[in-house]
Amino acid sequence: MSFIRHRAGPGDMSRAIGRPEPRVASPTRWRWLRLPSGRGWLWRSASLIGLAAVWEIAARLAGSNMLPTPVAVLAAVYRDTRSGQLPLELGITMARVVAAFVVAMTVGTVIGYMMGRSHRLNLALDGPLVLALNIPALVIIILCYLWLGLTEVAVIVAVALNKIPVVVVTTREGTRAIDARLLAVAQVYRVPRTVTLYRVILPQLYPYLIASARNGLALIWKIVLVAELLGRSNGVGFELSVFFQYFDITSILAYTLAFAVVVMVIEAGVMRPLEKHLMRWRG
Amino acid sequence: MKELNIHVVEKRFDDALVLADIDITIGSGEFVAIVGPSGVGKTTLLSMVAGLDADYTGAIHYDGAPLAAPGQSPSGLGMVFQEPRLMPWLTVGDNVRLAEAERLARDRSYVSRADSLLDEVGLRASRNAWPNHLSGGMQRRTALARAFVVEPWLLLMDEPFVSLDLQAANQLRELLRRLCARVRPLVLFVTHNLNEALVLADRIVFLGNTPARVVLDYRVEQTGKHDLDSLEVAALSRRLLAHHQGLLSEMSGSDLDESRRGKEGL
Repeated sequence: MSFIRHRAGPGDMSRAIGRPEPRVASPTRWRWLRLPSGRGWLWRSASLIGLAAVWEIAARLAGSNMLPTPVAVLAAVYRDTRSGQLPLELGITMARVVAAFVVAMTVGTVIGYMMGRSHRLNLALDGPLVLALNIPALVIIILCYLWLGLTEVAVIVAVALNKIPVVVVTTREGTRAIDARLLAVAQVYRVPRTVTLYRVILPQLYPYLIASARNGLALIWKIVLVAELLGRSNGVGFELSVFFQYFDITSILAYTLAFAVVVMVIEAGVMRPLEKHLMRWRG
Repeated sequence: MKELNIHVVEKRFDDALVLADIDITIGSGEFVAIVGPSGVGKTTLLSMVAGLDADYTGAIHYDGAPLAAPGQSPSGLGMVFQEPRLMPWLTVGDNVRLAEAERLARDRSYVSRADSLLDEVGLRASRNAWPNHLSGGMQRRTALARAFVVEPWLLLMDEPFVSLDLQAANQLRELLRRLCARVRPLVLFVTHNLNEALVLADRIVFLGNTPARVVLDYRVEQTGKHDLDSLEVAALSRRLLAHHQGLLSEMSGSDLDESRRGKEGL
């Protein structure tokens, strides 16, 4: 009540006093709604189960091949996992994702850092950067296939080229935010360059690098699928194109689901613990 | 005796002349306080000695040779800034060891002195703590340990004890005095607090006017070390200001002026 009075203007005062006190939610009344921290997974799984339930109901109502039920999709996942085909295709696609991810993160971070440090380089590369950010992924993929042939290198280059500009922008922001006062400390104590990089500069870039790694993973696997669909004869993207030709919606959903689960596991099992470790000093 | 000579012909920020015709010579092991109103260029002068600011005309020599290569900081330098400037992602111990990285790179057999320094400043128990879990006073102790872990021959301090409560500041001054007595560095200590300068320094260089120049170079007659607000220090400050009537007006509008008025109000 006190904060309401405080915020009301002088004219509102008399009216507020005349009215019965508004019922303010006491902390205890809503406690049952608030889950203890660390139980975030409860909310996550509840929402996923809810989603599956909605899907099941919709599929039954539709009663058509166009929308298979979640159970049918899970059965397809099981079938293709046992046959070994799903793990194989997943592995091939995952290898491409990892390769493109490593290339894009490395190249993008180096260019972004240099652009953040050098005003001239930034002026020189900013135009091409904006251009690169706006070239459709599809165009880059097609051009890479035309120039480099339908090869593994073409896929990785194409996907990396799609991601690099985004990494550059994020890293450049991070580099500009580097605290010059902490760099002065390193200079005063004549800290060697490599130690300065690992102990003074990189820790300031970690939040930006983690952000671009997380976005990167999500973006890259989507682009890899398109590249596979267009020019490879294996991988999840290629399989999807085959299912597309056979109108096999169940398998399309099964492969998509499997891949999404793998990416989520990487996010929860690698990205988030890594972030927690690197940012542990904030706690 | 080896001497540090700071000779500044001109230091400008854009077009404004900040420092001009400054020539200070300091013997090694001497503790010199630089006192002046805020904005007079004390910190700038310190940055120039530290090698953080090379954009001036003049030269800084030690023992007849340039103090440091251009764009570099002199070796054997310790520096304490206005803020502790600790790396928040390094533990207290690693923050101190960061200053030893150069030494370790030169000499693989070098054994870190960080633990013994942390002992000396009373922070051994906190050596694995994150800096942002420490109090302001403890963070400054860490910064002191970092400055002294390199056994500096030259120590630059830029108002290191401001925004601390009186007791914590007194403890840190006492700690600084102990560390200086052991390591005996040449100290340049920037402050706007005349009493602090009188308590710590052998010599006080007063900077004033625009562009800043040396208004007075004053040798402190030491009568033993006292608290900042003791009668002895008050007497020292009275005697100084009585002998140099023009000092306050030449530094008019300064914090020195204000600190005096605040003193009399008490």
